[in-house]
Parts: sequence; C-alpha cells; structure tokens
Amino acid sequence: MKVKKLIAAVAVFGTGFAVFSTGATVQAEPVSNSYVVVGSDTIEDVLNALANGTAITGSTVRVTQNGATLGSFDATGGPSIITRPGGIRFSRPNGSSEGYRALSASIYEGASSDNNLFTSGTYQPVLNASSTGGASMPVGIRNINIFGQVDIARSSSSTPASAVANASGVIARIPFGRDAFGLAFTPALATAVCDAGQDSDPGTGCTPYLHTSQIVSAFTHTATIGGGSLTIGSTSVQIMGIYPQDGSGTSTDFLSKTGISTTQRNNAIAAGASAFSQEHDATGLTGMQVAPMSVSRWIAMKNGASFDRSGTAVIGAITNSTLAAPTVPAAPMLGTAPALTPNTTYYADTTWGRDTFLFVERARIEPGVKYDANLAALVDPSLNKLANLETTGASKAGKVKALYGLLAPLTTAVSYFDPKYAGFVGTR
Amino acid sequence: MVRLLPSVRELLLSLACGSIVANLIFSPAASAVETDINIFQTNSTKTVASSEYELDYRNAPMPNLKVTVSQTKNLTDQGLDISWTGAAPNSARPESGGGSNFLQIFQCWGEDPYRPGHPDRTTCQYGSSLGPGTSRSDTTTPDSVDPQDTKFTKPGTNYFNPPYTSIPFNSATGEQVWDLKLNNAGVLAVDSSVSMASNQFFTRLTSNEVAWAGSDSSGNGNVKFELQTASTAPGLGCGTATKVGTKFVGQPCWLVILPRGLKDNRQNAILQSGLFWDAWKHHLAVKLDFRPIGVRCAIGVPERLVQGSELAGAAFASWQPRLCNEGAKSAFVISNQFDGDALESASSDETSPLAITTRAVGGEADDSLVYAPLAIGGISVTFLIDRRVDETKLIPSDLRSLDQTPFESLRLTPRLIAKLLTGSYTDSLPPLTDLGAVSLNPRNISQDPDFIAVNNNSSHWAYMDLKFGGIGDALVPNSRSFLAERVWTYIMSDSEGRDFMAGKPDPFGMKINPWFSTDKNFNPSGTAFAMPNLGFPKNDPVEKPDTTATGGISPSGPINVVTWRPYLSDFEEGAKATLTGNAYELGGWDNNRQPPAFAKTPRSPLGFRKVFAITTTTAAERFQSFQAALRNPAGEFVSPTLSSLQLAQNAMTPSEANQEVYELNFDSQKVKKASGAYPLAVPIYAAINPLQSQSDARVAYADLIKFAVSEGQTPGTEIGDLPPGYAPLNPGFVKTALAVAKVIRNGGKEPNQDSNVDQEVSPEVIPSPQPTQQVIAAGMTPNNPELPLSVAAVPFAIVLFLCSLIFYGLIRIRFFLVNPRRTLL
Repeated sequence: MKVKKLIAAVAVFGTGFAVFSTGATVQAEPVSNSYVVVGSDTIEDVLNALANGTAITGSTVRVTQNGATLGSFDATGGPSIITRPGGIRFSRPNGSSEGYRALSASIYEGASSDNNLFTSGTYQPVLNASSTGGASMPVGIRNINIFGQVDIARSSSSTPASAVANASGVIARIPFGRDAFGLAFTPALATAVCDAGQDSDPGTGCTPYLHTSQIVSAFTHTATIGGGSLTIGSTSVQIMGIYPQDGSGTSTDFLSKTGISTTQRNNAIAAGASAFSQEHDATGLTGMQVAPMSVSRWIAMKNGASFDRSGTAVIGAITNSTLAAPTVPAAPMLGTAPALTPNTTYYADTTWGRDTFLFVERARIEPGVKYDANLAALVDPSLNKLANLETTGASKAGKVKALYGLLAPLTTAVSYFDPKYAGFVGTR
Repeated sequence: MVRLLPSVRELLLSLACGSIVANLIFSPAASAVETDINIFQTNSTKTVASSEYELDYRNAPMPNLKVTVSQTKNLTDQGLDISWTGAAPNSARPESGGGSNFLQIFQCWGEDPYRPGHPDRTTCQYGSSLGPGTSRSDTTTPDSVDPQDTKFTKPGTNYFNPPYTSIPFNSATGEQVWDLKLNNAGVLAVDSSVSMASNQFFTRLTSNEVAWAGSDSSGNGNVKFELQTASTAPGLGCGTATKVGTKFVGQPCWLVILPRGLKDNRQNAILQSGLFWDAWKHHLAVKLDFRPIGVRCAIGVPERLVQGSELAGAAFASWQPRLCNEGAKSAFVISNQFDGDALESASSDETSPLAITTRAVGGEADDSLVYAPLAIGGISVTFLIDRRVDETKLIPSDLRSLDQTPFESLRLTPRLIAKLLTGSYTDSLPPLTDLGAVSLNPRNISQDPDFIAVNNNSSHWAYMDLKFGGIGDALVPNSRSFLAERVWTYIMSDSEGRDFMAGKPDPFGMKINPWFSTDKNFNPSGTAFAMPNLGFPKNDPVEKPDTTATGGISPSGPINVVTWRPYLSDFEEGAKATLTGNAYELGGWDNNRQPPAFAKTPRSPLGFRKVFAITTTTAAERFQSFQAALRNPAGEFVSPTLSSLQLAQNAMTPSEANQEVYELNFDSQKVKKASGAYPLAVPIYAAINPLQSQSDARVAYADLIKFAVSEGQTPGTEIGDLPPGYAPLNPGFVKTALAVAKVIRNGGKEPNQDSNVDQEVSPEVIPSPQPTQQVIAAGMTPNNPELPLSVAAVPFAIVLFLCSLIFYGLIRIRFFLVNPRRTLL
C-alpha cells in the first residue's frame, strides 16, 4: 500500500508541483534555481506569499533579489520534495526542527559524512498519528545526502531541534515576526465558556479564554470517552481537547508551553478522551471541542490571505495567570475581517506569544569567500525583503506580515547557533 | 532533705534511666508525631532584602524582595531551603522565551574586588541552560551594551556583525573560560574552541543553577537548592580546605538570587544573560561558609576497610576527620555493600573489613560475630509532589493559591507502601500495554481512595489532578540490603499489608499486581513472592512491544518495566531525586538517533514535580527532602525525627536471630504500645569476628567503636557529631558497644566483669553511665524539643573516605574492587 502511495506521489512530483494543502492562491512549490526555504508550518503561508507575490496590501509585494527568487516548501504535503533542477529527492522537512536539521545537513562540508544525511521523522501525508517516519521511512527517501539543497529554514521556535547558541556557530538566526497561540472553540463550547464567565471581550461578543491549567486538565482526561469537563466558576462545562498532529512545530510548542508530556497526550488519545487533527484546521471541530490555533494563521485565514479553514470555529485566548489571581487576557486580535490585526498586548505575553525566525548559513551573509550578497540582502531587515518589519506602506514586506497576523519580534539581534544533524536512520 | 512523696520518688527513679530522661526532653507530647517539616531553620539562617543590598535599588524589578536562606555556615554537598517574599507574582513557567517576573538562583565563589560584600559575576556557575534569559553570552545591538559590560564585549559594526557580550567564568582553580580572546590586532574576537554553556567546569547536566523560580499570587516562593562543594563543582571550589593558622577552613562561596522583572538588558523582554550588568546589578547574595572538604590524615596513617549498610555513611563522613588524628589513628575506607555479604566476610577468622549491618546474620548455625551498636537510623519514604488542581472540580480558594506548590507532608500505611513497591498502580507500568487486572487499579497514589482516606487531614488530595511522573511507584535502589528487607517486614507485619500482598482487595477494590502476590495461587508465575525480600524486584514481565515498524500511536522501541521505571544506584540517589524533582521519567522515542532510542528527560521544572523515593533518614535530611509519616503498630502516623527515632529505640528488643542484636519487633506488645515511635527505625551495628588474627586492625576497630559511642553521639553538624537523620544510642546500647569493643580489642577474650552487660535487661533501663546533660548539650534545646532532624544538613554520601588527596586514586581503585555492584536483574 505504502509503495503505491509513494509511486502516486512521485508521479505528482514528476511534474514539478507539490500537492497543495494550503494557501488561498494556488502556489506551486517551484523546482527552480532559487533560494530554498523549508521548515515551520506556522509561517509557511506568509513565506509563500512573499516568495510568490501577493496583493493583499493593495499593492503587489514579491521578495526577490537581483532576479533571484525564493522557493518556499510547505511543511506538509507529499512525502518528498525536490528543490533544485536535477536535484535529489528527499523526505519533506516537517516543522521547525526538521527545517533546521535539513539546513544543517545542507551546509555541512565534510567528506561523505552522516551529517549530510536527512530523513524526515514524518512519513507524509499525515492523516493521523499512525503515520511514522524515521526508521520506517521508505528506503528510497531515507538517509539522503542533501548537501546544498536548502538555503533558509523557517522556525516558530527560538531554538529549533534544541539548537545550542554559540558565538562562533555556523548558523545565523534572523528575527522574522511574532506570533501568538490562541484556541479555536466550537461555537457551542465558546458560548458555554463565555457564559460561565471567561470572556475576554464581554462587551461586544464572545471571545472565550482558558487558563493554562484548565487546558492541561481538558487535554489530559483519560477517564471519559469524548472528553471530560471543566468547572469554570461554578459551572460545569463539557470539553474535549484536540491536539495538533504529531510532529508539527505547533504540537511541540503546545506540549512544552502547557507542560503536557507526549505520554500524557498519547494516553488521552488512546482512551478516546482526546484526538488529533490537522493543525490550524478548525473545520473538523464538532461538539464541545477546542484546539490550539496560531493567531497569525487565524488572522491570515480571516483576512483572506490564507485558505480559510476556520470553519464555524471561534477564536479564543489563553492566559498563563493562575486561577488564584486570575487576569483576563486581552483579545488575541483587533478589528474585523478582512482587516483584522494582531493585538500587541496579547502577543507580548511571554508564554503564549512567540517569536518566529529564519535560519541561514552564517558564512553566506558575512563577508568572506562564501559571501552571498543576494542571500544577505534577503534577510537584511533594513531592506524591503524577508526580514523587513515596516508596517506602513502597501509595498512593504512588513505590512504583508502584519496582514498575515505577525508583529515585530521581541528579539532584535542576529544570533548564532550550532548545527543539529538528522544523522543516519535505521540499520546499516 | 525534703521527704519525697512516693510518686515523686518513682519519678526520680525513672529519671535515673537516662533514656527516659531523653524521652522527656525530646518528646514532651507524644501525640505530636507528625511534625511540620516546612521550617528549616538553623542558627545560621540569613535573610537579605533588596532594599538593603541591591546596587541599583531605584530601578529594582522587585523592590520588596526579601530572601531567606536556611543555613549559611558549616555547609557541604547538601540541600538548602531558600524562601522569599515580596517578589512579583508568577507561577507558571514558560518553556520557550525567558518569561517575566521570576528569580534565578545560582552559586558563585569570588568577591567583587570593587564592590566588597558582593559576589563577582565572573565567578558564577551560570549559563548552562539553553533558553533565552539564561545564557552567559548573547549578541545584541550596539546601543544596548552597558558600559560595565564593554570590557566583556566584542564590538559590532552592523546588523550582520553584531556586538557580542560574553561574561567569562574565572574558576576557583585559576583557569578562565571565555570565548572572547584578543586577536593580533588587539581586538576581542570569538574563540570558537570555547563553549560558555558547556565547558570543563559545568554543563547543563552538572550545574545546580535554578534558571526559573516563580512565586505565588502573593509574591512568595520557596525552592530547595542543591548546594555544591568543590567535590561536585571544582570550578567553584566551595569548601576547598586552606590552612589558616593551625586550622583548616573551607573556601566560602556566595548564593545569588537574581530577580528578573519584565525586561532588562535594554531588550523588549527577558531575552539575555542575567550576568549582563543591567540584570546583574539587581542581584541579592548571601555569603556561604563551607566546612573544609577532604579529610586530612597524616601521610602514613593506616587504612582500614569498612563495608556494609549504606546507612552508616553519613556518620562515618562526620567521624572520620577526628578518627585519623585521635584514638583510632586510622583512615576508615567505607564502601556500600549488601550487609549480608559484609557479615559473611567479617565472620571469617581471616582478616576482613569491619561489617556494618542493621540486623544479625540469623538463620545460620553459630554466629561468630560480635555486634557493637553505633547509632539509630532509619529508612525514609521521601516525596516531592507539586500541587496541580483538577479543573473539573470546584476548587476551594485556599487551595487555589497553593496550586503548583509542593505538599510538605503526607501519610502512608504499610499497604500504601506495598502498592508503591509492587507495580500495582497503572502509571508504574509501561503505557499502551495490556495490564490485565492491574488496569482496574488507580493510575497513581494520588488517585487512590485508600490514600485519600488515610490523608484525610489534608483536604487538598481530593482535588488533585496528578498524572505520570513518579507517583505510581517509588524510586528504589537496585541492590540488596537489610534496609529493603526491613521495609518488607514492616509491610508484612501489618494485617492490611499482608492481606494486600496475598491478593485480597483493599476496601476500595484495589488488588495487588498479581506478579507480586505472596499467594502462589494468585501469582501468575505459580510461585509466591518470597518474603521478606532483600531487594525491590520489578516482577511484572509486561512489555510494550516494539512498534517502530508497525506504526500505531507514537511508534517506539520496546518498553519493559525497568525501562519505564529505572532503578537507582543506591538509597542516597533517591533523596537527591526528590530534592531535584527528578522522577527518572522515560523520554520520547527519538527516531533521529543512531540507533533510534528513547531520550532522557531532564528534571521536572518547579510546579510539575512528582517523585517518591525510598531512601535513608540521613540522606533525606541532608538533601532536605520531605519525609512521609508512616503508620506505626501503635496506630499513629509518625515522620522520622530525632524524637521518633529515640522512641523507636526505646521499644527495641533482642532479636530472635541473635539475642545480642536488637530490633523493632512489630509483633511485640512493647512496639504496639510505643507511642510516637518511627516504625522504620533500625539500629546500626558494627560487626566482626573477634578471633581475627590481625591485632592492629582489631584495635583500630575497637577505637572506632569507642569514639562512635562516646564523642560521636553528639547530634549536630560539626565534624565528629552524629549528623541529622540519626538518633544517639541509649546508655544501655553504649555500654554494650563499649563491652563489644573490648572483646574485639582483646581478640575474643571476655572483657572484665565491670563492663559485662546483662543482656536479659532491655538497654533502656540500664542506669546511665553518661550524664544526661551531655545529651542536652548536643545542640538540642529542651525548649524546642520537636525541632526536626534537619536542623542542619551534614555530609554523607561521600561513599568512600579519603585519608588524603594523595591517596585518592589508589583508594578509588580499591573501592571499586571491593564493591561489586549487585543487582537483582
């Protein structure tokens, strides 16, 4: 079965296009002589927009440099990608950590070392948690030497793959934009939570919110099939937590911010008290379900920038305050679609807001033999390129980011990290 | 002389019995058996306030901050209790990003030459964590460098060549770790060969720094800090002995508490090093005086081997410095070993190491050994469980404010301990497996109605939502010991415990994991679980199969019971695990490893800790672990304290195996009436065959015993004292020990009549040869008799003792040879 699927995927790839799962405008994953971007799903839509051109600001914005274009590959899709003409086929890096490992493998300069090898941990397409990668990845796309195949890694984490900061590290981290975590509620659950008294927008509508500790309880039930309940104020509210699919950056972040372990999650799912779903896709939520949601993705969907998979869901907030001294969180965003903007107050939260980054090889943006003026320009915030943060002016890349729900990151300086390799997977 | 009333005369008669005097002193209220062990106060407790100490108080991130450190003198490798008020509230720790309004706590060794009374930031063990706000060095922007940091900064020119500030680490050994070096042009440049986070002095696996400590909604907080001496952290050199005049003193160090507010270092949030000046200038610090480490025996002092129960380690650590210079004039090299083996070797006529045991050999024919009591110790069940409320319930407001703070006391019955040791809670077995009958049991102790009923003195347990971690079982060592056997004896002495072990359900319907049942008809192996066992076996053969090829939820390699809940190497490691909140949880399956394997999990962050461990009372005291109150045969819940160990000692009677060796006989009427007695108290004996030919060794052992039961009985934390976790011997035991010492000294000849002990009489009623004042003078105040054992911590686990540093390597090898690790696997 797997073999057949693979052949089918290969056939699609043979045309040079990936299967599209995201993006309001259908954008090809180009196999072209351009700068290759892989990694995080959280900022893949905005990267697609900047790379392929967008008119969302009212003016066409497309990031290129001296004729060099960008090719941004989604985190999810077919099981493998080819990034260069005549390039090698390798498993699709899924998420921030894998993007970082792929970049590391791509820039490693050693004689036939395992450090050049890359294998994704997820054998795509991801339908549910049973999809597995690594050792069970088909041999044809396992342990591929991807030297020179990747230029930029997208990351929604400050230290993807637990990268170690090092002043002489060979990978540079460029601040890209600030995202925040929210929650997508079904309308019934949103109403119940607001009615129970947890509404961060009590005047005009219902923007429900949960405390971190309530999220932990709701997502780690194992006793009741179909979820459990929360006591909010003195009201008992039925609730079922839905996790992002395994292996996604959002999943990793969500687990680490809540302190839920993978074992706890797996047991909740095995008990039928919780379930997986495709991340940033609220169309499947039913009954009294809630799922973590990137606020920037939500804003992009509602503003028409990304393919709208919000369904009937209602966006809500998270507060890290304790219930002993509860504080009502700010609403995640301001305004109304299609002109929603991120709420700076909400994004400033140090737990549930998060900076996103681009990673590139350091030697290529610093003067020296490997210096690549075009790549350096692409990640220079003083230019109207990828790292730009100016939000005024329809032609600015920063304005595009804002409409995709990203604010200026709290981190301002470039910093440097050691590579993390994927290594050899399976048996020799 | 006033004529005394008969009753008063009786009282005075009993006062003549030293131990009873001790009882009156130590235990005026026998009912007050569960002590509040939250108060860690010593005579060197110190408090430091932000308003009096900070270098830039006007801009203080937490102006009302006041920090109290439980002990600041005579320190060693141990736990410290650090509590504070006036911080900014925040109780949930962000995983990514530095967060805000938290404290960082770490250890430094040097004083700032320009700011006396303040530590030098280049001497701090800090920066091994990987997260933002916790590093030692960071890139920044040119306008963000404080002038105080300029000398530690590589200047930057533009966005792609940013300034880089890195605070060097100057070690106590005179070396410098700094990734900035002057290049040929005289400019600071990065030296890629140096890592500030992971170097020869500290890494994230060795550093004791607390990168994030939150406070409750009132701004109060409390942390147990793992203090490190030069033997654990050579770069700090705390406690390194230097000769001042004729005395050796330990090198002092600093404890630093650094408040981090909303943002610092001219950044938008807490993103950069706490050692950068903007953050560092707000530090609070307390100077710590360490006991000199290393024992200085003169070169040429003979080495004597001691082996056996781990429980004696702390006492020997305290006594040894005195022993090499006075009396015995020997270096006693102690190694942990199974008591039974130590006794077997010591019963030989050939010269052998002195054995340390907590019971007689028993069983075999002639016991050729003589036994000298040394002290009373105990086995302790330690725990560290942070509250985590169940949001499905209506939470009382008093509990709300305590969410994520640790429980400080809990009660256990023999049956509950049995549940923790028999894989009977589902969390103790690998997940995603068919657990059979066990699957009907509660997942861990916090969800066991039996436990909640026993702990009905605290309403909080009924509201807990605690899952995973280490509360489905207790961490145990993998070795055999009489201490393990004692735990099983305790369980089997209780009718509830016996019934549960046999397979009968408890009143709430929970049944033992059948693989541990003492009823062979109930045990799937067809044989009964042998009792009392000498170890803590993990009998259940259940295994989660290898699913790497077949898929399923989170595919991973196989997980058996030992993979899932690993063994520790010794009892002491259990106490350390509870201090540091390390439940030894299995990490996730890492497909990218070569070959794919499970990852390790680091210690749990504050607020998420859930650990139980079986350890010794001495290790628990040293690492300031919370200790459970256990139900004694008198039906009371008693935690281990000086007085509860004393009361247990009074109830000890000659054992069946050897009338000269005492034990707490749980079936005896005496024990059933022993109010306030800690049930897992054990006597510690030194044992050897007195017919051994090497007389100089025998004399040394006799001198050791003599010292131990005289000067070595003073409870306290000074060198030569009996450290916290022990109770001193009653006079009767002391007399026995002195008599046995004489037998050992004389090579088996009977001691003279004077010191012969009438063993028919329980030791406690033998008139005291010692003035009772000595007990009082031992640092205990009658006004505060319930002071817990943890008045101060004491060195313990230095498993082997060094006569001098010169002998270090040699002794290490020897220790390795005499201490083959034994496992039950």
